[in-house]
Amino acid sequence: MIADEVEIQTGSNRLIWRENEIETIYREPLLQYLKGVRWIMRLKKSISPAEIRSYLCYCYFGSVPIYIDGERAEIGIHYLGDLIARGEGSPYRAVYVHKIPFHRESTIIVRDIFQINENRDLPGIVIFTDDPRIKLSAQRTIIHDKEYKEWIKETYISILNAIYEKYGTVDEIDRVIGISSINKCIYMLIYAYCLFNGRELFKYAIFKDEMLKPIPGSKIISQSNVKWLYLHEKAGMKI
Amino acid sequence: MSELVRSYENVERLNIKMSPRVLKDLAVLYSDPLDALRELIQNAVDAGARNISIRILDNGSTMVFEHDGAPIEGEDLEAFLTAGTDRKEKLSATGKKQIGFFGIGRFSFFHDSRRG
Repeated sequence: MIADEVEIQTGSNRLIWRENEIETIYREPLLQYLKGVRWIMRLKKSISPAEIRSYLCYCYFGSVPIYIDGERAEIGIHYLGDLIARGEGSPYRAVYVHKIPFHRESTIIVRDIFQINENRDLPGIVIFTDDPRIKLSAQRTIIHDKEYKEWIKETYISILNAIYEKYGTVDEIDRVIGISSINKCIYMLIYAYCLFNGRELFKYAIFKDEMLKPIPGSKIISQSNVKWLYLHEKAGMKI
Repeated sequence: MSELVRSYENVERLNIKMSPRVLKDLAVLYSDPLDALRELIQNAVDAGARNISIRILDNGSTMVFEHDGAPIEGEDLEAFLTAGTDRKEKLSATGKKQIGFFGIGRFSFFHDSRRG
């Protein structure tokens, strides 16, 4: 329990919500329109910026910048990278092993939020996606990082093979990725790639019309072989 | 800090529609009080925020969480007042599908994991 009273200022509304009256929200007009949302929480126990920063360090891997008291919060992915680089803890990952999500949403691809927990049953760090769909899923599986890497490597190879068989040449694959429609193999490829640190591929998102389009504001490197070379290297295969 | 509701003038009382499963789901989803923060972040991302700001005031007794995404108004406010809304098919303010899913994250502020 973090707060006993919360005020939400948003748009033209001022909403007040209390712990002891959880089924009621009081609304007042907000005098000055607020674009965005501001949550003001009266905390049950005091909390420090360092505590929040520390929490985000462990749980936030997203791409939207977070500022704590005006300072950019640490981004968890760097912290995790450091941990692994220093060999502190053997990373485990909970992965959607049985349901490789062809249908995964673009927001999840672009802005994953992960959480690392110390788990007493495992002698290392447990990393699991904090997407509640996964968190509640019976399919959730924890595997060792080594197994995960094997799995993802196999995934790369199978996807690349499937794509190559379908399109024949790297140029054709690039043309399809960059210009025209999409198929499940490509979607899966993007997802798998982003599970590593393929920030370049964040430019792609799948929209309702099933066309592959760049995400506004993202770095554009389309029509080059860079990503393919990187994937080939990762997958240990040649095309 | 004084009560946040400083004046009862022009106050409208809104009821939240809450199904019994909500409290059960809360116990499954939120084990750390700071998970509420994660929920705010996910909501902000779903609302198309480009920046998120957190300020700590009053010697740590007040937290202000702000983002520049879409405000909660109209249909979003209606949805906000319905706990357990299944929003998986709903698109976010940016036209993308949302991370938030069960529509109960906002209750995590008041959930005491020790009580279950």
